[in-house]
Amino acid sequence: MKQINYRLYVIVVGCGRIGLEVATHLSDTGFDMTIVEKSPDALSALPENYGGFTIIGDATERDVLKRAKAEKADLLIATTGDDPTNYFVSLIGSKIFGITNVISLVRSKENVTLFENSGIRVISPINLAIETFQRSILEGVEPAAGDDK
Amino acid sequence: MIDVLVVDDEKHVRNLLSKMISNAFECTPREAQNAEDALKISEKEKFDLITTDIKLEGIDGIEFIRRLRLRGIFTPVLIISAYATPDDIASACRFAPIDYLSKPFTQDELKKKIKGLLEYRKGSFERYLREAEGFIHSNVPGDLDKAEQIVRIMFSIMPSSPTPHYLMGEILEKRGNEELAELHRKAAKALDVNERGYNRGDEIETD
Repeated sequence: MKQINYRLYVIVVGCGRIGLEVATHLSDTGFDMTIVEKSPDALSALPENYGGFTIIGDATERDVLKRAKAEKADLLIATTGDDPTNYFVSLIGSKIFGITNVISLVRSKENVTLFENSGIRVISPINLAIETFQRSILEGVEPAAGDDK
Repeated sequence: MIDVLVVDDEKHVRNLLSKMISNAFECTPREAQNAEDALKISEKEKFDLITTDIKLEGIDGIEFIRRLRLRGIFTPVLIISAYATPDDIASACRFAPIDYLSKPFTQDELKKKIKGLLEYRKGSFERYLREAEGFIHSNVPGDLDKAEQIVRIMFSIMPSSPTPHYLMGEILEKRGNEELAELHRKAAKALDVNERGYNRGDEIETD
């Protein structure tokens, strides 16, 4: 794993399959990490090499993000399986704790605009899948399309 | 290069602390998951710094520090905890040198705290050194015993420093125990990698 020589403090909310992988990957890269997760069982799935802190609690509660020292975070990543939770957590992070970089997982395609209009960067698995399919199909049909970056 | 003992009951936190400390100070910290093990380790090995959580299974962090001090181990301790109360901090402060860092923290914050404690250690070592020198060279009866007590504390603060051995050599020489004095002088020379020797009033070397 390539190590970076600058350090950002990143809070990942949700320790599901995606949150766990993202947090482990970022801690390997050398970021200062904290995972906030409601269920202690989910945290037990973290691999041994995860080099970061864990906080058990509901991130939609302001006190929980305070315990994670959200005011010092450079980046907040919301990865729970529930769009309203991700939206709420992202808003608390950006509006109350002033985190400038907020990225959220958005499960439902219909919610993407709502998140984007609130200044939240969106990762939409459905849109990503659609784009990837489109790209791979188009690549096969017209290789010189010029839109594969 | 420093020797560090990391005490925490959570494996993730121990991993994280070891990783952060080894990155910042190029060393491989020893780890203990409870205070009982940590006490056993710190009786056998000397450390420049110990980090401990407050909430530990069995003996808690504050009691652990108290027992360290009772055993004559004055290694600086960095308390790392998410839930320390002002009362906890107040009771820990009696066992200086102590500092506190709340979880979660960044590598830079940890590095700053450790540097602060190591600096403090150097400062207190120097104060003890001047005090011990005063007692060694005074002719008041009983002062040599006071000097010896101080030198024993200096041994526990900086176990790898040759200075306490030089001082012990002088104390024993004054008492006429030439044989033991010579052993301490030899130990001092073995630790004195830069062969600076010791003269009264010398500044001490940094790590």
